Amino acid sequence: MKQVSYLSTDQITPKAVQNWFEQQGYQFVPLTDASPQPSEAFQKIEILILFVPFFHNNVYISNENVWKSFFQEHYPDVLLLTAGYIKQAHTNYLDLLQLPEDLPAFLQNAKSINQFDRFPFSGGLDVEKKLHKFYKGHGDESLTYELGKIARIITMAVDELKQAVPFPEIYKDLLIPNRIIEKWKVLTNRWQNYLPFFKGLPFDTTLQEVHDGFSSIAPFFEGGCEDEHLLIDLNCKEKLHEIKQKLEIIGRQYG
Amino acid sequence: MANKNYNILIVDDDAEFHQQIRYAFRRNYVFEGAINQEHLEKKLKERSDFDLILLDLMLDDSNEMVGLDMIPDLASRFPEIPIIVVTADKKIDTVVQAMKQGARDFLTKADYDFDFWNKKFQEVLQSQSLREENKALRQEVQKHRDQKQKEFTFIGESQKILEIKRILRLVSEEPDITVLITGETGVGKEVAARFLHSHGARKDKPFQAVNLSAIQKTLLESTLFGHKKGAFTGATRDMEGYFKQANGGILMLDEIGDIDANIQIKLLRFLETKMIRPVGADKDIQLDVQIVAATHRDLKDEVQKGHFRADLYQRLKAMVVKIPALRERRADIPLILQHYYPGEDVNEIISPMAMDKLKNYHWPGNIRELKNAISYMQLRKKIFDRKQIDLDCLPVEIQEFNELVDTFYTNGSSAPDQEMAPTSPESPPPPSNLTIEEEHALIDLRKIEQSLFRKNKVKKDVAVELGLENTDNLRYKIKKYFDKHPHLFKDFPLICESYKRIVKLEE
Amino acid sequence: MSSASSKAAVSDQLTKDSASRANRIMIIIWSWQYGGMPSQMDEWSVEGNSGDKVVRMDLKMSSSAKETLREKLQEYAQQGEVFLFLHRRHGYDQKTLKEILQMARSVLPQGHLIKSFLFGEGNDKIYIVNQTKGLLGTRGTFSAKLQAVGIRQATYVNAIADKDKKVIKRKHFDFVWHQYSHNFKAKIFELKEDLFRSLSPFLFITEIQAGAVYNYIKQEENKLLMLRLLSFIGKIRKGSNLETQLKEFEQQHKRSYFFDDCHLNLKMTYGEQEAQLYDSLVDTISKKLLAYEPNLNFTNIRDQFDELLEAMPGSTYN
Repeated sequence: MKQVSYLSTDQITPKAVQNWFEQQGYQFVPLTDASPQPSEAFQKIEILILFVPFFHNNVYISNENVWKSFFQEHYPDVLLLTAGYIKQAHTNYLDLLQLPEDLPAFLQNAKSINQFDRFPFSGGLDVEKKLHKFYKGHGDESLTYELGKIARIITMAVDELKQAVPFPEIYKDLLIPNRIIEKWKVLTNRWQNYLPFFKGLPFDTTLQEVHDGFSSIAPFFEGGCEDEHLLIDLNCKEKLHEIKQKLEIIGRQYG
Repeated sequence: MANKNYNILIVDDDAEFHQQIRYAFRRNYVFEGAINQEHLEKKLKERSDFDLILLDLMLDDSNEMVGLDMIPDLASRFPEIPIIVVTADKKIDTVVQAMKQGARDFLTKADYDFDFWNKKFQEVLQSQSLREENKALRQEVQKHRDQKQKEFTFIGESQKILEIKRILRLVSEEPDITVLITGETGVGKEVAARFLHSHGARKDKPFQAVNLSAIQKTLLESTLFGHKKGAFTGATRDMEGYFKQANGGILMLDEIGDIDANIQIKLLRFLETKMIRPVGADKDIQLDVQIVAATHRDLKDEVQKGHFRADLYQRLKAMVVKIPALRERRADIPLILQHYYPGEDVNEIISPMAMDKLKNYHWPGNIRELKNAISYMQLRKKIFDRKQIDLDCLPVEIQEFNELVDTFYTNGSSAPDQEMAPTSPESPPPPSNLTIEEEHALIDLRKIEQSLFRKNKVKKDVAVELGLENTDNLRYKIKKYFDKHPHLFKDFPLICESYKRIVKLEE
Repeated sequence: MSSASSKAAVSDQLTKDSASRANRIMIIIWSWQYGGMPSQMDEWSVEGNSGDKVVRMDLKMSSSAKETLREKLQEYAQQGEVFLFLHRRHGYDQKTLKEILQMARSVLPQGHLIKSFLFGEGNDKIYIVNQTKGLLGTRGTFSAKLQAVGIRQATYVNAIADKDKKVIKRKHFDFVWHQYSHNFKAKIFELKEDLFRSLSPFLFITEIQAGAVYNYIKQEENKLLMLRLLSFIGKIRKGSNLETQLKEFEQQHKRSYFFDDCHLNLKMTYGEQEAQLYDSLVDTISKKLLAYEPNLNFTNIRDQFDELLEAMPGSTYN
């Protein structure tokens, strides 16, 4: 039996269409593992349906084209489809209110991932725009910009420590004038703001790692950046660098 | 690397970024800052000697890369100040655009790393220093060329010289013809060769001149044709010879009459095939070099004596240009003198009597001697604190030159162009029982001895004072005289002492 | 970004922008006094020296309040586009909203329309949700304390740029304005999506029996959908049990479910076409979906939703 995988935040709709798929000889299974690195779960997929728009954090999110980009990069052989209640015509879109009578023929007709440019917009919050703002080099809404600033200041602080400059001096001459605590608050606030919109994206796992990274160094900042030992022991410089790298990898493809 | 001599101007709207960079590099550089374009202009008006501009591309909240548009203007107005662009993140398009506009390098704010940034600063600062040095060197080279050009200006409006110039211009239209320039020592054979070069098809290509008799015989082959590493003891690396260096242009082989049979064969081969083979090489190299040979010897005579290959002589004599001795074109003397006093009237500088003396002297050392005389006269004028160069300022040999001879030359020759002075057989009789060559040698040796005394035996200074290009020329001159007239040296102790290896007097 | 000069540049840009569009004015009727701010009405300008402003009023619903509002709306409508925010706890509801909008219509010249929004309980987009978003805290000031998940330290967010000069931060103002420009559209879009997701068990039933869908929606697990649909068709009365239940859902889900201000605004400010499409959809939902009607056609309902959404200007989300 051929397998059709799906990704959805809505449990009711997939349950409803499951019988329809099975009646036509397809096994209909949810995809649970979503990571940016090639994984076993993804390698087995032949057909994947994304239920769009994706509901999360009280908002409908349109993420279909981010997924398309991901599959195009890593698994171009997967037949990628979207399904939803929007009225639109596309070879790779299943209109749930007007399902095709002949599913095999529909699948036969669907284009491979490299044969079409983008999915039609599914009407929700455009996550690509959010990602763009997240990565935008210079601006109040950019997270990476704020992260870059903090990473730079912390790098300078650690460099100074290596030069045997006493930490109180570094605190007074570098950390305080550069309002590092305030910057950290801005950063974490932005992170909390963006994170929900990025749920259900191919790089979910990496974002969780980034989140853990932030949490691991938070004690230094929440302690007012006054504790030299926390700066070193929590590997703040290295962690920030690591976070930056992880986000850069995502940003290169989706930012 | 600490170098607080470098001044860096940060242009960024983020005051905190200024603070951070100043802090991190406070031990290394001196910083000034501007927060927008207007502020930058103000800073550059105050001082334009910054060593580096660190320019952020985003200078306001507009999200427009205003800094990008500023680069071409800054680069053209302040080419000596390199620009490193600072971007919030690394966007290849932006970087490429910035570099195209004239930025020297870029740094990404998000990727701050002290060592990397410092390295970039250093690279750009040092490359700028190199550029400036190169610029200064180029200017120096140009100055040197101009100087050379001045030295090698073919001065003369006498009939003979005008005719020679006409011939040289015609010859210059034949870039492959081999030319032989003859004439006494110091008549300006190299000047004529350069005149040929500057008027011909090869004028934008190299001109190399080599005095073959000034090079040790054992080194002559490798000096001319080059050598491969290991070809002989001391050949530690490949070296190009004069032929290769002159490729495309002209190679002037001065004193060709002095080369040995081995070099003659190789030269002949080149003239026939345009190929050379560096010493130690197993392959020939094809070259495109025009040969201009020069000699003060009578090559025909050398062939007869068996010193010079007849076939080579046949090749060389295809086009012979004979440069007359200065005494054969006295009318050009004031012109030549004027050339060495640019911007001044030579008749004001030199008294009429002194001028007469100069015009009537027989100039055995030709223009070279005249040039030396000018330096000497200048010095004497200073020493005697004279307003003009008068008789007292003239070199003694000119002062004492036989008036009769003078008259002999000037009488009946009111028109300078008619002064077709005879060559050596018709030269004025020497004032003593010395041969004319010995007279010439004595004059030169006296000058060298006096100069050695004045310059405390510093050969470099002596060469400069005597108007010689370098100490090699001085050594060559002494060697040449010693080879021919060793008996004259006993009266010149300073020369003997300074050139012990050359001057070996018998006890 | 951080420099005074760059701020000046932004200010210039905003001045240019504001020259090309109408001033934007938000009148917020709220319990300001509760948070320690003066009860007297005052005006706050917005960073960038444009004509944008926030008007603060602490006005409980009454006949004299309506009179005051009439005067103020007349005054501010002359200055630019007006959004009127009415706090439910101050006695404002669908009925009073209708009265106010009708009154505004009668006193304002043709084309000078206002949009009015009912808000309360802290779940609307006028509330501060992060560093750059929202205007109101929950305690009657232009500030709020935010507690981020996983970060122990709370963040105090202030929408005020300059307290003495009474200046509001541009980012906060713009966010709220933008949200409410699109507010109704997003609410309708979400109802549509949620509705069809809920009705998916009927997708493969070729002949739906009369009343089957209505009975399904009436089930306890679909209560929220029922309440939202009832609100959409204007069947939730003020002070009713249904209103309380929907408010509870709003608080529980941190979402805005009431449509009481939506229909009125569509009718009175968006235009006749939008109001007609809305009415038509209300009719279908009332007579086909929430009824014992045979031959229920989902695609027809979808088409009606789509037509309405398409007729409403702007995007669904910003």
